[in-house]
Amino acid sequence: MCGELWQCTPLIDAAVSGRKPTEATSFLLGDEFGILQASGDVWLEQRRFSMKTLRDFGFGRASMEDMILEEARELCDWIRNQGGAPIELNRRFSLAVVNSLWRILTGERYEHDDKALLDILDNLERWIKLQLKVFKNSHSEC
Amino acid sequence: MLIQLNFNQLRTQRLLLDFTSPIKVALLFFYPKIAKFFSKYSGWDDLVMSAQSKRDLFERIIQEHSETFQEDNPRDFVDMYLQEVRRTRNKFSSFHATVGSSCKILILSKFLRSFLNFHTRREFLTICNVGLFCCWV
Repeated sequence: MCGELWQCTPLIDAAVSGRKPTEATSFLLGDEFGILQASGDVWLEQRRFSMKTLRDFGFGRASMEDMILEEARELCDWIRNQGGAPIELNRRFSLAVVNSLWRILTGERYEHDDKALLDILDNLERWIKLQLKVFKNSHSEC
Repeated sequence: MLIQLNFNQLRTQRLLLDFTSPIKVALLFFYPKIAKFFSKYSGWDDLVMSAQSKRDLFERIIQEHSETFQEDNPRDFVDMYLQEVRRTRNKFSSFHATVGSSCKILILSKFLRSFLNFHTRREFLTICNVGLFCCWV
């Protein structure tokens, strides 16, 4: 398919945005429920609920600013304490982002050095890496 | 604690953890029976371990929320989800308790996508691409 029209039209059509579960994706994502692996009415219902609830808890609103500032402050303190030594920032930024979102989801906040938070991040990184690889392979085969 | 990581060490760690080579991915997603047969080499064991640790984490959170749940005082997203499950009477709804009789919610965020893309966005403080993935097991 060439051209913007032909590439964009199918993407906004619900008829071609279904999810075909495989054994591995069902195992990873949990069958046809949720958002990532859902299609049709289930997806619509879950998405509507998720967006509304997230907004109620401040996501994307000014009330989230305090939460974000707290994470930013801890990040800045950590950078300051490194004394100019080389550091890997990618992971630290990710920790701050995950932490602020995790708080909305579960009400828990972790210190940036907390092993539980690092475990969550490890887990999610591996999972996303796998997903990206799958998509990349799928596209290259097309 | 992963502070001041040696880049070589980090690379080594990532290689060791990597279960995403193209052949492995093809086996995992398109030939799961073969992948399970060679579970150690195909990455199936890693996949199971990764999924299981995630499930354990979410189940713990849901369990804790269920025990301290107060109908009139939802504290966070998980509480709201539990409330929705309890309120739903329509048996065709994806929130209805019979869809997952144990009513466990697995929460995983697409927000991870935002932290992956974050370096190109610069503005991680204005994350605008959060989605949630919730499902019952």
